[in-house]
Amino acid sequence: MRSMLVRVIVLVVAFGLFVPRGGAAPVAIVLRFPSWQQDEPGVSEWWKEQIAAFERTHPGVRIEFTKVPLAEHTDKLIAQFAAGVPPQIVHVPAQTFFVFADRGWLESLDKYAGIEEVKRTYHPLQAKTCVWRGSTQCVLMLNYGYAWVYNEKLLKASGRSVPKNPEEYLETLKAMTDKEKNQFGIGIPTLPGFTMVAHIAVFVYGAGGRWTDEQGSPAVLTPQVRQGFQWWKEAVLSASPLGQESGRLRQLLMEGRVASYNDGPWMHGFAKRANPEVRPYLRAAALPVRWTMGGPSNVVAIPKRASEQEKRLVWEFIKSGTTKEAQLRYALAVGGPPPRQDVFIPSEMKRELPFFDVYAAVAKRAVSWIPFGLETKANEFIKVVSEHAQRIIVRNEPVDEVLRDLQKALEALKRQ
Amino acid sequence: MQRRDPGAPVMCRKSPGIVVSKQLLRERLPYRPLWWRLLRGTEAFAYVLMAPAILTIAVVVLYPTLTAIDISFRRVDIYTPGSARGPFTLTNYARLFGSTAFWQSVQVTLSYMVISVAFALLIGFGTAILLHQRFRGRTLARMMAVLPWAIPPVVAANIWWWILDPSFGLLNWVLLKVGLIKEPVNWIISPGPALAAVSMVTVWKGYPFFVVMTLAGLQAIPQDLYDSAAVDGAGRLAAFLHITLPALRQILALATLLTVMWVFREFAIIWVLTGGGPMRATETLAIMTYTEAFAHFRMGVGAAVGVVTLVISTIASIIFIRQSRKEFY
Repeated sequence: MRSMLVRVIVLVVAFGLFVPRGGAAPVAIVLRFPSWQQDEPGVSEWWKEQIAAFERTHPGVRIEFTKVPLAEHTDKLIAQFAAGVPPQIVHVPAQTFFVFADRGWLESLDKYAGIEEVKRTYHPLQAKTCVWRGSTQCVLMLNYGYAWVYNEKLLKASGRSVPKNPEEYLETLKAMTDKEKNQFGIGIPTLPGFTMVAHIAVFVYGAGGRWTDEQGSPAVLTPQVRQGFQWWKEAVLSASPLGQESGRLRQLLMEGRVASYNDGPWMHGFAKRANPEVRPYLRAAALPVRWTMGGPSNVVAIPKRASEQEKRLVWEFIKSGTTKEAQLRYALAVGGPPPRQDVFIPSEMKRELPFFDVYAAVAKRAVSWIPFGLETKANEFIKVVSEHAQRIIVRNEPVDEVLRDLQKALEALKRQ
Repeated sequence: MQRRDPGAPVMCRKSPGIVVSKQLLRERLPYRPLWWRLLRGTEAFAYVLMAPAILTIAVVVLYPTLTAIDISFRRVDIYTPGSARGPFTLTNYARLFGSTAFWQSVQVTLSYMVISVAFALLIGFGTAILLHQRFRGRTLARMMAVLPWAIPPVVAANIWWWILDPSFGLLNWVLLKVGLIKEPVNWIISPGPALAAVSMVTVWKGYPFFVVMTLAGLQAIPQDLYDSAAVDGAGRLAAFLHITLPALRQILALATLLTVMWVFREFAIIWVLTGGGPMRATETLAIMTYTEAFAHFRMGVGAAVGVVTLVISTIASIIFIRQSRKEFY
């Protein structure tokens, strides 16, 4: 009886191992592609379409698209590069691209057919971001600007209209806040990290400040940076729930518990998931500041350590996303203008994307918030700025004093 | 020379009355190779048997530890196996001991450890004493008491993150409702409350271990001791102080030692709740090791923090082991 059972099990296992399933071609090459966008509304569908199309035209090649949270993404990639096993498709935020490029971990793309078309047709930020020490090492996926996404019903209930200058903006945020009822005028991330510093940059860059000067030296003692931090402090303490991160704040906007949020064009995807009673009232407007924070968002690259065959396949995959047709679909998926400049988006296609025109306008005048001069120390820069900024809102320390310490800390970082 | 019949019966050495056939022995006993038969019973045999475990430990524990010690003495930004090693240097340690961040981290680690272990011990011990009594639903109560232990740290930390949320969290809502606070506490983003919050979650996660260990210890104390004490006129408090506590001394010392080790290397709870912030208020040595190595890409410095942590925890272990050597029975 037992030997019979063993024979049946062996037969079943052998059948499972050797019988071809559904006629699919055996997978010979797997290209790993970890990304925080794997489940991001909108853009994840575009990636999945691209992957499916690529796998159809490349039998035997499979792209393993896996989720890694944005907060852990760079650290995990660094560990994989250090261990000598990087993923074949390297997808990173533009801010941290330089960390990889500076260490010579990325392949030059100049030798591949099709890169010239990218150079010719893409937004100037392609060259400004992806050319490192004379060679092109990445392809820009998105350039963007932040806009103010707000709940029109709550704005009207506060008796205010869309603000036209920073002072009106702050007053509007306060007017939409009722802390007794857990109702907040805006959501601003205050947990240390990438998004916290990005949202500080909205105010600092909006006031005309920059993290570094034209020589790449820290420059946070300017009146503009000071003004930006003052605005940020006022907005956080008077109108935002404390101790929140971006994902939770977006959710609170979708539930109607925060009245507004500063965000990029990917907000379209999140807005589709808003509560039915909130969704019809979501609007976007340009931030009422002279300079809009934004710039390059994320890039794709090829690791030097991949085999020549893998590099060629990854380039073909990247290239397939740079065509006019793919870029049009990308624009519609992400809800903002694509990096390729010769793509025309018909107005009937934009109907599903109510904020598209606002994001297209702000992307044109957006200023990159990458701290040039400190770009290869992006992680530490983020930590230093977060820690100092927290002193302002937690301990209520004077902005001037904190900025003096921040300048010293950034200078020390630059010297390292 | 006369050949022996392979199937001839042999006498069992240990029990001379039993006679078995050699053929039967060969069939029933498993085959053993020559080296086995030669080494069996010798000291070398013990080492051969232990070799797989020793090799595994060497690969999994010893090699990374030695590598970490090695790179802690070299200027390494990002360590790549097989890459050229820089010269021997004490720069990483000099940098570490000269930085206020490191000493703050040591202070945070010690505070976090003392608070977490002390409260986990007190709550766990108290709970175990209660659960040792006979009452209806005792099994269910025991199960509930050890439940936090079964929850993965990341899941536990995320649940607590929602409870501790300064604006929408349950804890602030309850405290406000009962009038214990007048305005919401910024549990995650204020330095003092943040350390209290991570300690609270660590205690919640760690006290069941003390419950399990203490309960096991309580069940092992002979009832005769209490009966004799009662005959001698000892009250409940005297029995507790002179029988229960001394009998549990060893087990509590062991549980405390293991919890100290666990708290020393605790990472997930702190990382998920505060990420070591705000303003490094919850940056323990474990968090500092990670951030130096994988966020700031200074693996040499990160390894140096790890080595210092190893030294501190080894000293703590020796002290605890010496303290717990005193026998009760």
